[in-house]
Amino acid sequence: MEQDNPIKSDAALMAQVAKGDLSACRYLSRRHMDRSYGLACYLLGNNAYADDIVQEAFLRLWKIAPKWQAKAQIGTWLHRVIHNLCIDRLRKEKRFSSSEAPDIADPSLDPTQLREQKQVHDMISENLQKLPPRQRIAITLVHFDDCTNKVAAAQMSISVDALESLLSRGRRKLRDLLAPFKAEIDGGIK
Amino acid sequence: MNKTPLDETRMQEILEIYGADENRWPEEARASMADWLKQSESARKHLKAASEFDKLLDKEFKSVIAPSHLYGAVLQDAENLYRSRKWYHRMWQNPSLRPAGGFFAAIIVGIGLGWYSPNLLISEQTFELDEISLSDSVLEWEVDNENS
Repeated sequence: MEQDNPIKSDAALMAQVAKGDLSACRYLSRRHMDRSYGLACYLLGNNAYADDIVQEAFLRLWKIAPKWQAKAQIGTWLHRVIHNLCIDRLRKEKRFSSSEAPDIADPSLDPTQLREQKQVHDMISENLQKLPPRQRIAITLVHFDDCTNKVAAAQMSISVDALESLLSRGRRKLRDLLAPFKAEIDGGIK
Repeated sequence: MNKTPLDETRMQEILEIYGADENRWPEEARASMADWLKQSESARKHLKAASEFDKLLDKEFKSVIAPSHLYGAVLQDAENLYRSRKWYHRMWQNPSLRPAGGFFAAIIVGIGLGWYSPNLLISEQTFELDEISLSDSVLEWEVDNENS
């Protein structure tokens, strides 16, 4: 059913949520939490703020459940809300100094590999946060949120040309920032 | 899908901007990009470079796991919201509680009206003006009464 029409199956889930079915809430949280949290982390560059944003987005989801219509997928709706909440927060705060890294977990790796992976992750995450917010948002939307160029441009209220310029500059700058650590990164990624 | 011919510079640009994953390329450019990659060795070199950088980003983006306390908070919000809604719905849908609700609402409205009604029905100013005019006529009436 879910594969046939994700919009309809999401609407059915939301109908369950509207009835106060907490197992449906649990299922939705499990399915969307990590991506939502990741999106907020990368857009804001701050884990504590990301917590607040994700909690607020899910609260809005629970509240809207009785009025939910089968027009969009829950994931798309959530990411749109998170994106808007993050932009509001960025506008309010102007800039962020914290470059706290999100948690990593890969049970298949031994402690040494995990440590190496964490170091690489911290390095990339830290440098990603050094990008100007709009370049970071553009990269996050296209690479993390899998938005098409038109959707990402619409979400940022800019033209596709402007989005391409942000992506191009962002990727180039990130590559330059990471160039000195190339050997460590290559080692950590394998 | 229409096949829009693109020049090589633009195709390199697309790899620079969107990376190596064809799902991220602009839809109208995919066919030309596929042809270019098939035909050109340098195109494949560009693709490889873009792909290495993508691997880095993908690795970074895919490693995020939400903290468990956030799950707890989100589920607690749902529970609180639906517990309060359930209370309201139970109250409203119970046939024996509905008339009681109306009864209590009437009592509250009655108390409120009783409390505020003197000020609502006769304003203080109107009352004072009435008193002055009334006292004159009463005085006259009393004087009239005494004389008579």
